[in-house]
Formats: sequence, C-alpha cells, structure tokens
Amino acid sequence: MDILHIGTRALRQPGRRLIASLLATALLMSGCSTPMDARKDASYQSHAHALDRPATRPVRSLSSFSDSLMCMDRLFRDAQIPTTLITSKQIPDFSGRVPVATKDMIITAISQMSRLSNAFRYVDFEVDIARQDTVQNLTTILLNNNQIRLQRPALYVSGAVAFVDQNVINNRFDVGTSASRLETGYSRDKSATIIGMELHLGDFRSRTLIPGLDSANEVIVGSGGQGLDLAGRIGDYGWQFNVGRDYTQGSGAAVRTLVELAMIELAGKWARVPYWQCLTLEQNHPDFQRQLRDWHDEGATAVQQALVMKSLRSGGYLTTETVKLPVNHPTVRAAIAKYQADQGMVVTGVVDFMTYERALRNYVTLGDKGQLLRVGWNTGNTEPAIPSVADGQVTAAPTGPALGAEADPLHLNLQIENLVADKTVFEQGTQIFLSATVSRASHLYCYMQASNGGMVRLLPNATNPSSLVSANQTVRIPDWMVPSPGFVLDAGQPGEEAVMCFATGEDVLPRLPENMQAPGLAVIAGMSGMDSVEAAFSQATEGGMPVAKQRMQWRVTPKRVVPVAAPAPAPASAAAAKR
Amino acid sequence: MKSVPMRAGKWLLAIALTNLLSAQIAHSAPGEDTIQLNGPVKYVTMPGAPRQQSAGMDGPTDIPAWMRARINRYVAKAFSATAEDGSIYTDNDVVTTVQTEGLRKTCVQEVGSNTVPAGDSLGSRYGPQAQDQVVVLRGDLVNVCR
Repeated sequence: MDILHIGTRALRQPGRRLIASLLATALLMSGCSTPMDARKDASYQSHAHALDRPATRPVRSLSSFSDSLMCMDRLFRDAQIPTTLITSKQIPDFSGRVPVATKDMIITAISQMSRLSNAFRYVDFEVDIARQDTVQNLTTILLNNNQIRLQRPALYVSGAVAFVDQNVINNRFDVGTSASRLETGYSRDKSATIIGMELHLGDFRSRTLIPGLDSANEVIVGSGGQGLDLAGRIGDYGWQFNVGRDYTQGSGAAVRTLVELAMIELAGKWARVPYWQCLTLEQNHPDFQRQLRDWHDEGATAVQQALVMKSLRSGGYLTTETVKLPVNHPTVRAAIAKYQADQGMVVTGVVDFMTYERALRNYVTLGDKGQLLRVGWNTGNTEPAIPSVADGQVTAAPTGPALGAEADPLHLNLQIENLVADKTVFEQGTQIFLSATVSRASHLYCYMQASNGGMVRLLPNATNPSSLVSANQTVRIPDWMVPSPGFVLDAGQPGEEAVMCFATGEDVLPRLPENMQAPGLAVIAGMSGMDSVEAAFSQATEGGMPVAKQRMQWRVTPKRVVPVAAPAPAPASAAAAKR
Repeated sequence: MKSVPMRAGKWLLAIALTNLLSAQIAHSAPGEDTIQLNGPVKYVTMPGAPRQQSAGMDGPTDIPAWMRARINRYVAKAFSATAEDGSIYTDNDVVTTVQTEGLRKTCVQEVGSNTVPAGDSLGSRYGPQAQDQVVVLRGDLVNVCR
C-alpha cells in the first residue's frame, strides 16, 4: 500500500480560507438543488462490463505433487491395475482453522491418478438430510424403485486435518526515529504455522483400516510483512510516504499438497507399485515453480516463446518446418492447445507462464547442493550450449530427449480391461472391454475383425464422431463409464477375433479408400482381415506422417452349455395320491 | 432394453449395436460391483449436527506491517515531542468522565479528542476528524474504574 500525502499551508491564510469556504458552500448548494443526471455517468459506467472480468487467465491448480500424480497414473497403467471402487469419508478439520474442501481435493487426486489407468472409480453417494438437492432427491426415488445401480466401494479414505499449530515461531522488529524535519518508522515480522494431516485407507467390506496404509504428514505455511513509513518537511511542505508488503501462504495450497502426497503414498502402498519413483521428481522441489517463475521473468518474451516452441518440437507437437512459424500462427496455436490439453492445463493456445513451466520442467535437474539447474537452455539465449552435465554442477541429466531434439515416435497403448487372468480366450457372448492411450494428442481409429474376417470400424462412430483424442485421458472401447456408450462389444462366433487401433498425427480418414470412409459400426464392404486395413493405413500415412498401431487378438470359444438340472422325483405320498 | 442385432446377421454378434442413445453396458464391467437391493432404502430421517465451520488462521499480529511502521513513527514522535513544561501533550488530551446511575457506573476515557491542539503539533496535521485516530501515549495508560 502506498500513500503519498503532501500538505500545504497555503489555505491557512484567513482570506483564502474564506474564499475556499464560500466556493465549497456554493458548489454544495447548487449540487443539492437538482437531482443528479444518471446519463452523464453512462459513459463512465459503460466500462463496468469489461472491468468486471478477471484481469488474469485462470490456471490449473497445481501442487508440488501434481506431476507425481501423473507419474502414478502411468505406473498404474503400466502395471495394468484393475479398476477399484473407492470412496471417502468427510475429512473434518479438528483445528477449526483450515476452511478447505479436503474431501473434494481427495476426489480430484484420485481422478488424476486414474486418467490413463482407470485405476480408481469414485463412488459418490452421500445423503445429507439437511441439504436435500436434486441429486439426492432423485437418488432416493430411483433407489427405492431399484432403478439405480449403486456401486459398493472396495476401499475408503478416512482421516482428518489433525492439527494446526499456529505461529510456532514469530519474529517481529519495529523501529522508529523522529527529528525536527524527518520522521521514520519501520516494521518487519515473520512467522510459521504447521498444518498436519492424517489419512488412512480402509477396506469397505469389513470397515477396517488396512494396517500400514496410513499417511501422516505436515507442512509449514509462512507469513511475513514489511512496512516503511516516512514523514518530513521540506520548507513549508509536509510530505508522507508509506509502503508495505505482506505475504500469507494460504491453507488451501498447503492442504492440497498434503492430500496429493498422502493419496500417492496410500494408493502406491495399496497397489504395491514403486510409488517412491514418483516422489523423487525435480518438480517435487518446493521452489520448483518459484524458480521457473524467476527464470521466466529473466528472459525476454521472444526467448520464452522460442524455448517453449523448442520443447514442443521435442515433444512432437511441432515439426522441423512448423517450429519456424510465428507463435501466433494458427498451426502453432493449435499445437500449443494440444500440448496444454495433454498436460491437463487450462487450454489457452498462447505461451504463458504455466505453459513455459510445463514445457521446460523436464529440462531441470538438481545440482549437487540441492539447487535447481537448467539443462541445455538458459533464460537469455535460445541457442545455449548443451548439455551442462559436464560442468561439474549437474550430477545427473534429466531423462528424456534434450531440448530441441527430435521427438520420440508417437506411441499407442492398447489394453484389454476384462478382469480375467487369460485375456486371449473369451467365451462366446462375453463382453470385451478395451482401452487405448496415446503418447500425445493424435487421431485414433480402431477396427475390429470378426472371426469370419469381416471388418468394422469401432472408432470414430456416430456417438464419438471425432477422431482427435488427447494424451491426457484414456479412451475406453466401448466407454463403459458413460450412460450412452453407443455400442457394446461381445465375443462373437467361435474363432479368432482382433481389434487394431491406429494413432496418426493427422486425420487420415479422407485419404483412406472410399469403402473405409463409411460410417462406423457397420461392416466395411470389400475389406477382409486386419491386414487389408493395415495396408490401407500404410498407404494413407506415407510421407513421414507420425503413426502408431497396436493389435490385440483373442480366441472365441463356444458358449458353455449349462446342464439343466433334472426335475426332482415326486414324493412317494404324492405319487400314491395321484394313483 | 431392446437389443438390435447387427445388420449382417451372420456377423456374429461381434458388436451388439443397440439403440445408440440408450446402449448400456451389461453387468460385470471393469470396476463395477453393483449392490443388489431387495427392498426400499431407509435413511436416518433426522438431520445430523451441522458441520463445524472452520475459521481462518490467526495472523502473527492484528496490525499489518505498514500500519505498525506508521505507529512506530508516531511513537518516536511522541517520545521526542514535549510541551514547554516538559510534559507530553497526550496528558492533556485524556478526558475521563464517570457517570453513576444507582449502583451502575459507566467510565468513559476519551483519548485523543477531536479538539484541535493549537500550533503545529502532530495532531493538527490531519485536522479535526470524527474517524478513529491513532494516538500514541507515552507510557502506560491505566484505566481504573471503581
């Protein structure tokens, strides 16, 4: 807060003071005698529409462990962890000092660990008699008519904001001086508060907390302030100056950090995956985002944009040609938007700090003193010496390609999600569930081959007409978690069946033969066998277009005939009575 | 729910196309464990206790740093400024009144009144005002009301 106050003695002279008083009275009387004309304010008021809007773009709420959640998701996907139903108790705040929606943060953390893996599905069934709303009322109606398929969770989260120790340390420094022409005042304070959280994972069917699945962590939130107040006199003029700056780290970000860390620990322990690999990322450093912000502010806008575009080049979002286009070119903006969607960011299509932070976060490593270091880039030049591992400061280079290097090839991962040990044999009539993920936003096409060789395009179809999919979300085939999946996939006649998906950098449907451009979920005339589809795609993607493909196949066995139980013999007495 | 078989009947039930708007996955989808209900569901019909509302955290001080800096300056001024007789100005600005009504007694201690002190003392810089004023007393202020 800045206050600048300059006083003068000019009006203290009696004559001038009288004139000023008369003028003020006349103005006041003329103003009160007629009503105000609102039209004269219309021009001023018209600015309200524009000024009412927030002045900054919204950004995704991230914590130090947001990247760890994405890492956990990939671990679950790689380990093919089956989907587990989970729910949560209310997370009370026993300190009475942290007004935070902790339970909703848990739900978000669970969801972020399940984007690619479908590892957890949250059961949202809560009844609050005091707060009946549409969802609760309809649930009650449908439930009593057995029209809702309520799911039984296997796991539940329990816990609390266990404590808040306020102002554990608190320093204050005040000083003031006074002289005939100058007065000064200065104040400085700083303090630290600790927030503690306990979370546990329980087995729902027995309502018991699973031994060892606990997480008790605490984090420090700090606050500080500094103020300077000056006053003095220069000749006949008095002046005053006041400046202050404060910071208060909020409890919301602190609790989100605790929740995300706890959920990583709990889910990792429960699923028995090496979750600690996801807790040693450079992004977990508490100063990571602050350091990136400093580096961002050090560089010119042109350098920031060039660095982000180089990163997008390494990620495969821009090509050697398109990386030379200006940052506002529609192709580049579309590439930035795809990248932002893949990273789970708020999509803007422009290079802002959040995009800069996401794009360069993989090119930062820890130095031998625990400090964050750039690898292969600097803030003032787009052509730095690479890498800087050999300069004695960096002990290990980040994994992955160097900034500006050629992109990794497009990758597609197709999995059968059925909960069976052998996923190569299905009985006739069994529903089959598949899921696909891509390493970066691309166009996805999936085809099914029946046992007689007939071909059908599963995706895109009338329900999901767009082929463009994000790398941030798994594609369920069919989508068994939405009310209208469009189709169901059953094992057909005995024989060999297969599903094959293709991911391409561009929409290749117009380049495919005409019979393959027919609507989805219909038999493709003139095509027999997956090889014919694969050949058509090879032809359509000639010329270096990024393409990835994967085939899953299984054998369909005849449906087992359930033996009909023979009717029980009639009791002897009844038989006798019949006779 | 009515299932519509594939157009090519021989096409073997590889894909069961149902009405595109009402297709439903049958039971046993991954991650499902549907509860079988055999009767109406009953809830506790009485509302529970309201949730405890959390307040914000206490700051290290009620006064922000910029304001404390100003107070520090006033304090320094108060320690430097004395009247002609060597006493501090604020001694004269404290007005105490006591009203009694039967056994009930009301003590009012007015500190830093709106009266404009004469001369160029600190209080006159901002002129008379009805708003709260920051008044720095040199020494402690003890209000004893018996």
